[in-house]
Amino acid sequence: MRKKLISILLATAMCGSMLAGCGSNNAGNAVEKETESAAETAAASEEAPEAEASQTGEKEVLEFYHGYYQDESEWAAAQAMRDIYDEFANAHADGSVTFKPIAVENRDDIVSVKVAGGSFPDIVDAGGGGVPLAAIQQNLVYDLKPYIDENNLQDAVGINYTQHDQDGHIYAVHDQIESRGLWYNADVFEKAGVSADAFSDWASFGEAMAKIRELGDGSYGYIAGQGSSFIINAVMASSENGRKMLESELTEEVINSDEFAEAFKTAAKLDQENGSEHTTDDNGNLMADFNTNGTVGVLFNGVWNASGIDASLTEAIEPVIFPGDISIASAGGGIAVANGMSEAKTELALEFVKYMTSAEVQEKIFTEVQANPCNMTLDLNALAEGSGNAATMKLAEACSQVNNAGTIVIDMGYTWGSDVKSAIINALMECAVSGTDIDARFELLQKELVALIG
Amino acid sequence: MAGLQTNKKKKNKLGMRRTGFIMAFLAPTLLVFCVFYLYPIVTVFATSFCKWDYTNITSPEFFGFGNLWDNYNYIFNKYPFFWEALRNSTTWAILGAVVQIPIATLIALALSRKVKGVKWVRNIYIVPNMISTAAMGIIFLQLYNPSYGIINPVIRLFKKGFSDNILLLHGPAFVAMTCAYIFFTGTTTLMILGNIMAVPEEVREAAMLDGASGLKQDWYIVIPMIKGTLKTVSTLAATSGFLIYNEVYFLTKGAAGTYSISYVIRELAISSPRTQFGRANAVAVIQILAGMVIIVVVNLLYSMNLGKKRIDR
Amino acid sequence: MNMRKDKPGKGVKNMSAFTRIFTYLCLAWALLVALVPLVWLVISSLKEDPLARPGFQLPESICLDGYISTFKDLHVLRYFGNSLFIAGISVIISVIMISMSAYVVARMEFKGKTLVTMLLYSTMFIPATALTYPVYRLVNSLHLYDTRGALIFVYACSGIAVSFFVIKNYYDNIPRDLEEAARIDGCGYVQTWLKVIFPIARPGIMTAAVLAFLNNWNEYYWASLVMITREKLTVPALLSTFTTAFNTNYNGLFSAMVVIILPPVLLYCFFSKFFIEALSGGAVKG
Repeated sequence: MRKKLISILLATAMCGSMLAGCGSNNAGNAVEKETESAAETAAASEEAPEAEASQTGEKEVLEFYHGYYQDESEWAAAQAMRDIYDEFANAHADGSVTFKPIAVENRDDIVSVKVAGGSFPDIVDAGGGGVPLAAIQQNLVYDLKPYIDENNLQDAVGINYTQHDQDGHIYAVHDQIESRGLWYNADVFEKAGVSADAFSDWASFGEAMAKIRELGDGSYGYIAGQGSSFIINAVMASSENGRKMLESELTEEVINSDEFAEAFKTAAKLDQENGSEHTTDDNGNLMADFNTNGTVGVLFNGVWNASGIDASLTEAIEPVIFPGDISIASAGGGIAVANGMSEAKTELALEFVKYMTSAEVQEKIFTEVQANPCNMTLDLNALAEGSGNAATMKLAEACSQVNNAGTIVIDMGYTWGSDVKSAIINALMECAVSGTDIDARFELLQKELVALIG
Repeated sequence: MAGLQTNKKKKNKLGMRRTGFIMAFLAPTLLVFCVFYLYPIVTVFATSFCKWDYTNITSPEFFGFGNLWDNYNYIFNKYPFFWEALRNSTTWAILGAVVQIPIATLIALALSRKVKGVKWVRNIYIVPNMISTAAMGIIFLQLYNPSYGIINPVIRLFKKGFSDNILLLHGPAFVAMTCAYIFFTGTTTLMILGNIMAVPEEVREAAMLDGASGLKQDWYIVIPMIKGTLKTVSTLAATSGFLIYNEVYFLTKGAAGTYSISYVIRELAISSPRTQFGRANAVAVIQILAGMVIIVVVNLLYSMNLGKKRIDR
Repeated sequence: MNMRKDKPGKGVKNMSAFTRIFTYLCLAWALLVALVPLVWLVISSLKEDPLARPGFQLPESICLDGYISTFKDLHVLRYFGNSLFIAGISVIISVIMISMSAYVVARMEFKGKTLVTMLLYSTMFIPATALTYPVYRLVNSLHLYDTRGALIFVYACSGIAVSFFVIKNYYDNIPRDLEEAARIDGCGYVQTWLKVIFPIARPGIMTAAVLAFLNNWNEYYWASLVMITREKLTVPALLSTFTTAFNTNYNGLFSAMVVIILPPVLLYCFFSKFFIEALSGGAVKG
């Protein structure tokens, strides 16, 4: 009896839900149809909203996309950057244009989708991703050079001025410079009986790494893969020719050059000796070995690593630049402004570029965000001493080493393209496996690269 | 005469109603298809014959009939990763149908027996399927890590002194990636299990009388009866094997010969600073065609087998 | 009655030793496969630095920081609400829509049927990159950008192929006599579907619904593309919060992963009956 009752109840419930489902479905259809026609009209007047806004006297909005979305508990620097942006927004709250910073997680996807549709975000901090070539080709990005020249911001934008110069145009200004050298653990070096002389050339670097491996206490030379791809960068920078190749687009000539072959093989040989178990496409996977456990001799990472070093190791870990007095500094992407906005919006956007490179903000980027600021007029060492923070002092030391290196070159990823770089890293990582024929793998890489740029 | 006419009228009326019904029931899906998929599909096919990259991103340019196959030519003859990717994706598709489905079926058969704790196993077994493949990728990246993962110590039991990163070895890397997803057949197993449980008791009893019990009964009686479901899940498994992307992205980024078709498409369209939409879409056309081939092949295989069974009887 | 309940031929006693051992082996394998990653994940999430004590070593001391920060700072519950709402609504819309069209394709003959089937199946293989731009534009022109409606729209429309496939195959297994009987009783087409077929096919439809729900629950690409406001994001977005280019907080990451899979697992424990019934097409009782 009870069973019957339950089944009747169930049946009623089912019918009810079915009817409800059907009802909502019909309604859904109607809505869908409506929205479709709405879509058509909207598509027809796509450009309209902006014009409308200014006509009705509403405040214009300057949207600024950036990638500092992380919660403060996860990454304090993100909060520091957001504070800097908010301050600018508040300072211009009374103006005719509202400045609206928007934190997004996949900024690069959003930008590339917009560009594919022929538009560009009002302002975007492209970070290390770089401004898409397609956007520049379509004339979607505002040329900042005239503004920089007019306002004498050359020193304030620093390396951006030369690195981002594309046939006399500057499409982006990065407020912080991606500056790279090496970090080494002096305790591990001492135990292995090697000194910082190991950084005089790559041969002695290799010998030092061998001695560290011989310690046999689980210590190893360095974290290879993504990190050691910068060896290629550094070796190429050691010759006049190689430097020129790094600074220009990748051509078949470069791929077949002796300089490139030597650079790749130097790195691959070191990596193979170092072992594939210490090879990763993302430094982050093994970074704790260096920064916390102290079991690694060398870490190929940027100056920002200063803030990641465990307190117990601050005494031991020191920054140094690549053999041959070489450092790597790239403006990368940075803040880019859209072309063809209203005068008021463009003005505020340019004001923002000036603000981000001003000494006041740049100081914060150094002390709070813990990055290498682009502004050349700052005295980093004095600022660090003023802060009294051990990590900031390490950062200052690393930054000044990078900034004062005899040769400063750009990361090849920016001039040659990220697809080229990931192909190089993949080849390098495969070479780390013991017994891999480096020469053969290099020939294959050459073929891959020729095809990629074709 | 009059009777015939009314009959015809009735039929017509019925036909009208039928057509109306078909239209009404198909309409929402077709609308969604047109709004959401038609434009992309047409674009993919059309622009695979166009020069479409960073220099002309808003206006793809038809190659002209003389150079119609330029993108395909590049993909087939120049692009270094295409054949590797096609081989890998096809292998994963085959493994989906050939490895994943038998495993799922065996476990489903085991779960169909009344053994102690069977409910527990069943419930636990689907949990990994609730984790996204992205999260699974991160988990397996840790498990495979040569310095602190759990795989290298196991290998060392058989091969002393092994210290290489298996994700960088040609061959083992592919196997490792396959193992990162292929054993998690929870949802598939349940779909099969459902069908096994639906096999009428009378059939089993009859089989018992014929002396077929246990595994024998499963093989001769149960499997043929659940063929329909097996076909469905085989197609789904082969399809998802063919479309693998997350595993490549999280585990190897294509190193050691592990590119997949989906990965190549994204690499060309998004990762390349030269934004090769045209070429990416040429690969996409291959992906769509290969996908259709997979569906047809699985269908053919199952109908072939079925035919054989009938003759046997 | 009782005889029928414990099905003969399936009890342990009637099994041959070989069958029994084989069964246990299969079950043990299933457990092993499922538990290794799960146990590893849970153990790791309790370690302060998972990489310092790797593998299955037990943590020195239990560290709940990751969990605490996940709940306290990241407002997990809000994301769960969003995910549940978005995935739920979109599944209902798509499944009803598909169960209608799949019925027509499974049962009726009409011109262009093969074409419709082909087109629907082909959607399974369209790469997301090809969809990205047109759909993004569509979402914008519908004024849905950065609303929950955008995701509901995208989820309801994507994945129609798999649902179509599963539901159509279920319809194919329903004997045609039932409809004929209903037709003789004077039921129209709509009525026949509504009163006879839909209830019978309900298990198959539920299977498709659960598959779609799990997919939408874990979807990340679209979620991060069409949603900007953090308050509206879905659960998978949590994961990316823990990995930055500069440091990776593994304790936090693993804790977040446990937290992300926990609600579906809990839901599943409470409603395992329903899930199992749904995925198994109604034949297995939880």
